[in-house]
Amino acid sequence: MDEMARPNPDRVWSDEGYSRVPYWLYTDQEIYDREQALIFQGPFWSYVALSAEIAEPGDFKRTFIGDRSVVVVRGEDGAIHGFENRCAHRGVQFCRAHRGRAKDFMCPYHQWTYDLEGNLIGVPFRRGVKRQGGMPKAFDPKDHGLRKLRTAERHGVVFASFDPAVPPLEEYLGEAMLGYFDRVFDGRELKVLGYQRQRTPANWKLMFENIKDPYHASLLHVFLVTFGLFRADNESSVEMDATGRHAVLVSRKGDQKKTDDLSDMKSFRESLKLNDMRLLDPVREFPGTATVVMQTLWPNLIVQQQSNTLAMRQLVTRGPDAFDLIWTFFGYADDDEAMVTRRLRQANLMGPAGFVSVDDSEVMEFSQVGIAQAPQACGVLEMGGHDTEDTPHMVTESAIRAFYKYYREIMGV
Amino acid sequence: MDGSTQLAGPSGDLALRVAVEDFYTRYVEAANEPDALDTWPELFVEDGQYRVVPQENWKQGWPLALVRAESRGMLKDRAAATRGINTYTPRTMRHLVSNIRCTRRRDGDIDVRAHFLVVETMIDEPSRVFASGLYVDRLAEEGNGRLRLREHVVVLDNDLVPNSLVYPL
Repeated sequence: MDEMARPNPDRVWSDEGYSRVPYWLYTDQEIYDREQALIFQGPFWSYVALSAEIAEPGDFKRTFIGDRSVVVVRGEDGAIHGFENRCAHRGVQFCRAHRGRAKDFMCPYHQWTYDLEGNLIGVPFRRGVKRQGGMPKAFDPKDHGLRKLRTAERHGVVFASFDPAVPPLEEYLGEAMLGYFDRVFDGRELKVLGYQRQRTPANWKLMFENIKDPYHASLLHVFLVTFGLFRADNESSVEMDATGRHAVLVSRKGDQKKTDDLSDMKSFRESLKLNDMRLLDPVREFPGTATVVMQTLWPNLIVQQQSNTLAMRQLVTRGPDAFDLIWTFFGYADDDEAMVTRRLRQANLMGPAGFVSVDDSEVMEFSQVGIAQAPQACGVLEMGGHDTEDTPHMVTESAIRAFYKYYREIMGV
Repeated sequence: MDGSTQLAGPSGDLALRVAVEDFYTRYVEAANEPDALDTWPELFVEDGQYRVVPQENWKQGWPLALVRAESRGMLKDRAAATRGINTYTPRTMRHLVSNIRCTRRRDGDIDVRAHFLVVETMIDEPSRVFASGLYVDRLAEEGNGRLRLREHVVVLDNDLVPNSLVYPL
């Protein structure tokens, strides 16, 4: 974006490159605005919906790309359309419900009406009243539709982009990430189990980093470590796409046992037992040996597969100091009742009240308040070295470094 | 409910109402006070159900809850998480439970609807409303007359949680 001003000259990235992350990246309004323009409105695919949420013609979902409200809707022709939730007349955010079914969209203010593709189809008093007033003859509704999105759908997951130059979705994800994506989204029909939403007072990148950071998982999360769900001594790997913008953390569940490596894992509590073991009753349901795959897809999606709890975690930016995380929990249309119950029980690990996730949302708040008091200081990312390669273990911060390597290219900072 | 309020109600209703109000006072004392958290599961029957449900899931009939416990054991596991497993900013929670309506069921249980408001107070910030909503509950009366929750379904007015839900609602 040539018209964008260069960032503040005081804000210079350390010579140590992506082994350091300057704290002004998490606090500056100018950086935030640049992210909205270059990342969230750039040539990238943002997650917006599951196809199951908008199954029938006229079904719509109101959601967000970055901090912009958008609507995705199933058209009469069965295709998915998307547009910004902002009337072309006076800027009114006309759609005010999470979801619903519509024949068209009418702005309440002056009743401009749009079809399911976002085309302007009605302007009251366009020809005036009693031959007075009205729109000029040259006014052409075709020039005043809603700002449209590109959309792409794969195996029941819908992505959208503001930028018409966005590459095909499969190319965008790359072969390795597509493999992990198709592991959960194998073409089976999905079924939504419900939503959780939370507002965390921290910069959105801290959430993305958290799921690219296997180092913390063995330390912060007593629950994961104690019950062997994610532990530094489990067989595991960190993998990325060619650009470094997408990543997966892959791990295999181990036993709840003591090993030499546990001396560093102060979170391990040998004595900790569940009073009701039904909470953890995982069954294998995916090919291969991995029991947890957490995938971050640039710029706004985390795909969560931990045991049998599956969720899309969608990031919505709310200024430099806050983000919303919208969790869409799902299963498959052919799940039996026992599997649905299992997924609902394991959901206790995740979300704003999760045995595991509470630690993350709280620590991100601690991070933000600490970072905000020293914008010129920077974070240290040297675990596992300085490079950005895949690793066959999780004692590394390589996926965070890779994320910032790519981020700097896109942001020009 | 016949839609009107009359001064002379049957005295049995009054006794029920006083007992139920007293029960919710006890509930709030257990839920508000970190040191009393171990007594919270005891306010439920052995296979007591506890769910915290965002408004949108409730309205649409989606089964997902923010918290789902299906036994006193699962409630104890929740209390244990709050008391030593999870990391979080220390906070004070203040529950106000009001507009209680209770109805005796044919099977002897008591259906309860009550409104609640929970205020959260943390370091460096003024107090804020954390949640409001409706309790859709069912109380069991045990042989000795003791009341316990068979179901405590917390239906939130909100979908968006202010960061984390740590303590019971």
